[in-house]
Amino acid sequence: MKGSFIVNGKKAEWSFAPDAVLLDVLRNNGHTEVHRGCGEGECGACAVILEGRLVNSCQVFAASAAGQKITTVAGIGSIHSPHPIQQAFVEAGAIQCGFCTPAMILAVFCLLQKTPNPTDDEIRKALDGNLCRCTGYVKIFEAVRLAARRMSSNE
Amino acid sequence: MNRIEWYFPETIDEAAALLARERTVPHGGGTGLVKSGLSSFSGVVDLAKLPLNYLKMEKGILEIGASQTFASVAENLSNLCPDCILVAALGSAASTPLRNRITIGGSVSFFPPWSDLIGPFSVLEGEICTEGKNSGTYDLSSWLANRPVQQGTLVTSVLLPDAADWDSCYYREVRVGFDYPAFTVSVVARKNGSKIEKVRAAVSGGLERVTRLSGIEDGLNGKDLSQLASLDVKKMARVTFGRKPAGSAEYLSEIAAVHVERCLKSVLLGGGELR
Repeated sequence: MKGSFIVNGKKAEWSFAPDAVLLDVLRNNGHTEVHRGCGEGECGACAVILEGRLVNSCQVFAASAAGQKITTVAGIGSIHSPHPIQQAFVEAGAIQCGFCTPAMILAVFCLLQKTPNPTDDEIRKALDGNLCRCTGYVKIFEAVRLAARRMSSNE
Repeated sequence: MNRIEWYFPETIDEAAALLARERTVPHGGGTGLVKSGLSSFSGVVDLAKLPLNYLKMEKGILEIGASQTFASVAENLSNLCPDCILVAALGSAASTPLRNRITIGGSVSFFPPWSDLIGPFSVLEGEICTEGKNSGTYDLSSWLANRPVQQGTLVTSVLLPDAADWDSCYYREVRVGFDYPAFTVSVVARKNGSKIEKVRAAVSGGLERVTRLSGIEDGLNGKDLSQLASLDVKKMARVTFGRKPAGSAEYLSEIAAVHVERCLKSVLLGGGELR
């Protein structure tokens, strides 16, 4: 079957199997910044923003996402023009192997859009679906606080 | 693999007609079908375009459309009636990206053993509204007892009478936040001074899926708060479990009873939420 999507602001039309999940369709079409982790909806490495909401792309049928807006981490910043959240992750050392980072940054992006100055509890809840097995979250929390400060004050 | 056709109806009648077909299944957006796979189906009816994404309170009755996600319900209710037990239950279920996909309709259709909805639904004495082959309104016990009624039937909404009018406590037994709970405890109560007007308590996750603790309810309804101290709550709250990764049947039964007692104390005697 075929479906059109708006990925990072650009229209795309792709063919896929009726039971394909969004993760596979994105990766098969070049969006390898969306990582494949557990495939069960538990690790969150495959998270993307679908119509403004963070979702695990391994748990979304591509057919049910057709016609919708999808944002991957490549849609919010690049290596030459990083988003303040990406910059904060680098500066806070909130990255080790980097596998969870794209989805982690999207989770923070969703959080800060809704809650510009989150408490630690709000950060914890927003990141409850994103597992990191390297840094232990301390640096990630520091990065979220740093990004929130900068984005609030337009530093 | 079978040929699978996706349908995107825009009206409930259209969806109900499609669901009357053989081997055709509804998909609200949640994860149940992704996990079980589509190999045994020939048609999938996507419900996203149906006008079922709403939440409203009329004359004290809370109606939640089947397409509302857990995240949306928790957010909407936290403004409308922040003390409603569903805010705590659905706001803590699974994880953020999953709460953004799991729908009320899908959850009611599956009511998995780890459901965070079934306990609050039981104590709020909710009803399930359906269209299609078995159109009607079902209470929880008749819904659970008659699974064939769900075949070819579309869940359109749930009704929760007086959902905002309770003090409540919700507990989920997990090791980390997004674990599937081994069991949940739901307690709601209304007090007038030192008198307990009404209390309802339920434990989910046991062999019976959800168990209303009618002995405790009968022992406390209409009584003074001091009555709580004279009841052997831990004994009366015993629910039968099977063995789970979280522990043996005996262990789960014991700690579920402890948390029933704590929830009752929290709701009736104060002390705020336990989790």
